[in-house]
Amino acid sequence: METMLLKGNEALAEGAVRGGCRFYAGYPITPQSEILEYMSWRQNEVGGSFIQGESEIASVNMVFAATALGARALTSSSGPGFSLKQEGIAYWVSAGMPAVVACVSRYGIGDGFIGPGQDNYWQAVKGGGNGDYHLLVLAPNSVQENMDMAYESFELAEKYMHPVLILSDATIGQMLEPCTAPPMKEYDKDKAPWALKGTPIGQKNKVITDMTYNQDIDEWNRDYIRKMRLIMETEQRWEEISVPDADVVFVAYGISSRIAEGAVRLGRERGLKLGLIRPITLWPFPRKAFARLSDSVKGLVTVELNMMGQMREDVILASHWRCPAYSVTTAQRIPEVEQLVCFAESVLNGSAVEEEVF
Amino acid sequence: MAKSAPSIMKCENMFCAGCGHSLFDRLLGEVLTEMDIVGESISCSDIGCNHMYQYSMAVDTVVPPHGKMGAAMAAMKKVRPDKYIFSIAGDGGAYAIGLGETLSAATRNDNVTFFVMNNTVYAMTGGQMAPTTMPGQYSSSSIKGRTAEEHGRTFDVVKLMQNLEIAYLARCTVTNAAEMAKTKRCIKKALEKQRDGKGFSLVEVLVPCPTNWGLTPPEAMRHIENDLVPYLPLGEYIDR
Amino acid sequence: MLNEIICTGFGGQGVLTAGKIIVYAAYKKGLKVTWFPSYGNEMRGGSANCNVVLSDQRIASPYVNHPDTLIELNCPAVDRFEPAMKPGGYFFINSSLLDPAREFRGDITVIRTPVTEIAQNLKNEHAANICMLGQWVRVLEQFSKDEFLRCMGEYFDQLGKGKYNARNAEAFEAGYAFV
Repeated sequence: METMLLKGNEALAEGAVRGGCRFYAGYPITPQSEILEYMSWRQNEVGGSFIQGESEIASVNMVFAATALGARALTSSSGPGFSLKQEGIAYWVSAGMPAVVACVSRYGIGDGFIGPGQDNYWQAVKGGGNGDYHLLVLAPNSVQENMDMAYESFELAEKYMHPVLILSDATIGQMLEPCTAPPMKEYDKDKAPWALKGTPIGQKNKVITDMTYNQDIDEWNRDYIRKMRLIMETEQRWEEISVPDADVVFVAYGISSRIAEGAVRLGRERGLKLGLIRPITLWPFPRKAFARLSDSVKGLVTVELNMMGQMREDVILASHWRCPAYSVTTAQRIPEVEQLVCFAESVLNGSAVEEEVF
Repeated sequence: MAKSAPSIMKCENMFCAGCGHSLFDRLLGEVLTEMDIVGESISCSDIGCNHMYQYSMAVDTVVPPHGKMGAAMAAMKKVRPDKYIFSIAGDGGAYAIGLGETLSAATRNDNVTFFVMNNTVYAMTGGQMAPTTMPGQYSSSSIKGRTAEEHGRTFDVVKLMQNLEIAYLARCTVTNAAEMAKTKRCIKKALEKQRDGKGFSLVEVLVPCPTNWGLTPPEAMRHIENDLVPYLPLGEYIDR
Repeated sequence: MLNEIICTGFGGQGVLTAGKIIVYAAYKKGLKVTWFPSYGNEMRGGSANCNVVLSDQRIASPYVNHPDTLIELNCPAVDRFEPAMKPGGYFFINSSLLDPAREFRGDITVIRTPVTEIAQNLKNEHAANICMLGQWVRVLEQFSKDEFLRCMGEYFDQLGKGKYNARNAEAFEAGYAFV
């Protein structure tokens, strides 16, 4: 095991390489360009391929084709670039391709800004492209998790033959932290059962396309829903900090969860019983974490870098309105630890107001 | 054309009567069989009428979104450089929605092959105007006929690509046995360029679409000879 | 132990690098560390800063709202960051670019070092950041001089910039020696 100081974006790229990624295509966009730059030399070192695509659209489809031929393939983007990839990602889903995409979220609508944001939640978690789908969405909150999640993402995708999205953010991507690199995984693209390798005359050829074209659609629909339910049941992941006796429980992922963790510590120092549920998978959303909450909880507080409190609706669905659900939304600003503690105090003294549901 | 279909061809043929796609597919099937490279080939389909070759030709195939063959083939060649990578594309896919990807593959001189079926319309969606629609041609989205003033000029791939450093560029058609023999030679040459690592090759084939042109199959063939070929001359434009 | 540091200056003065060297040395010492660059609109205005957190426990937020240590290489940042400092904090200022009449809060320790001049005297004006690190190590005594120099050398070695180590060490020593 090697330990090194890496930027989050570099860790994500290195984690993917060690997880068997041997094809990368992407297009420059801040704040994810380090992934592209890192892959441009790293893929050469490990005998893989790198293409700087002419656009995000080209890149996402390069990854589709590389995966179809058996490679473990990654693309990454942010903001409007991630929007451009949505059509391609929907094609990955329809063809059952276990490709991986990373979105290093930045804030804003349309062009937006280059600083961190969490206003991509709905796009990331509720579909993004056309059709009935969720991606398997992993939300790292440290450089180490950027590496670890990229490392395991291909096997997770292959387990369900369904794409994985790593939803990182500008802070996690740009920050330096020590991180321990796992060993290089062996992966043979010729052993991938779906891989196209050329079919000699007389044998049945393979076509990688929307799977309903080559299968009875009702049968396919049934299997697909069964798969989505299985993922929902088996892949929920979350971290709990000081939850069992908490009066107020923050719910936050990514960079916000780091601030919320600081608030739990500061609040506890001041005698406030604060806790944190950190969703690690955003889809499937960790509903089980909310089923176990004690009845003494006086409020759930989501903390997000957006305006509409996008995750709050999932928290309400998961908790069935058992207690009030508040949201602290800070748009493009990083919340301060002190601000979160103050909000928790306002929940405890009854002065906090629940926002409307968008 | 050989007397009996090569064994790569399956019996299904989903194309309309008189469609040019099936003629091209048959010629390509013969070349792949004669070169004995069926098992070494992976194709990349466009979306449109052209994609129905999947049902008549037993070759491994990836179907990316409409028009994105230039990007997909770049990746396919990187992952499996020892395979023949080619696309059967439509004019709308290769020249309109996917023009960026097609041109990027050409400017990089990717070692892949494009076969573009140019029937001057979007056929599968009902005959709408394409970049290739001819001056004066009626289509379901240019009902009074295309004009340069209103709809822009007609696309010509030779004018676009003739100065690029690519391996092979040719235009041919399937209107009679002699032209089909020439087309077959162009197909073979394009794949040989790829075999020899020369780079990007594109063969445009002028194909009839009697259904959307509102013509009988023989009339459609005559339309190509009389109206398309004078405007879009046949020949090999790049061969290096 | 929790140390929250902001390094700030003009783009090109090497404040991001100064922060990275601190982080590397602390990491080698076994501390938990985070480093985060601040960028955005202000990047176009020419100022840069990084947030550095050192701790013996898991670090929650990598953002420094109230620094206990400020390392500053240009003047505009003085006004911006002084009010945010924790009482009892240390403010390392490049006095080469500072108005001598400038007054400061009474509850922080201000350490003035003319690092631009020191670096210019060494004919190595890009090393003002390294000079300041020398001063920082001397005053706060979190690292021994030798320990820090070794880590700094390793840091540059890893970037393939080891050939400048002697020049950098010279700048560090000069900053360290200034009293």
